[in-house]
Amino acid sequence: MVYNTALSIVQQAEDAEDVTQEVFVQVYQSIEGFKRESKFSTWLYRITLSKAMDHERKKKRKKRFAFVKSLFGEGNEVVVNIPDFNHPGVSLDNKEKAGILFKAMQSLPDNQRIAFVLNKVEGLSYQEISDVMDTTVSAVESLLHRAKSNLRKDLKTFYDQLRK
Amino acid sequence: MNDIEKRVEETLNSLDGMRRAEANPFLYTRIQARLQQSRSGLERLILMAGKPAFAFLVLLIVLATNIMVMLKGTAEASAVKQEQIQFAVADEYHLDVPALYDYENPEP
Repeated sequence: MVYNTALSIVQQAEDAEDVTQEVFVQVYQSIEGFKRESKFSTWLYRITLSKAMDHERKKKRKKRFAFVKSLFGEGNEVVVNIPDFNHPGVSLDNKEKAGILFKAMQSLPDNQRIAFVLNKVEGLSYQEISDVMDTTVSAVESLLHRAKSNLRKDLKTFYDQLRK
Repeated sequence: MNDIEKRVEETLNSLDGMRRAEANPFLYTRIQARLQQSRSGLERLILMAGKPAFAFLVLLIVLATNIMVMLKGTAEASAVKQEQIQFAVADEYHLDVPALYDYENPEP
């Protein structure tokens, strides 16, 4: 659960392992602070998502800094290669489309991305997602609706460009 | 629904029925080893000292101390100078109170 959620956010196995380790260390160190006001799984999801999103923000900061330091190759072209992500749990016939979808998910706002991952990857209900995100069910519905709308827009642009 | 819209919908639904990813079996061993590592008080202090917030706080304290010392020094210096000026004026105009047995400076 922890590894799968982390993997879906950071989209790299090694980074997901690091995040998973950090989550369990955090749980070990702060288990006495768990007040049992929510389910243990809810608490675990919150820590996992927090660590995973922190990791993503750090990665974005590094990329920005590296870009400023100039990563230009020959002919003044940017040579940063982002590998395509293949989630090991996706069926073979859906792998290519899932890879495209995961890439599109990277440009979603944080809250929409979290709601989408919890719903589509972890299979949580709207109620469970609202518990994790500490919000209302209608807010979760709205987040998912906007996430899908944004993804449709990005995917349409992607397939349009592919056609040309 | 045209071809592109169909592909978009298929892509959006590509995660349906997916299984959870399983971590490398060595990850469990790695996590156990990390949890068993005990941190000494000195290690914790060193870790804390490495954080930017701690360095910023130390810098603020040093700057504040420097400013306080400078201000105090300036105040003391001006007080001493003021006193010196007062003595000089008193001496010039013989305004000081003569000692009872001060034969060198008799009263006019």
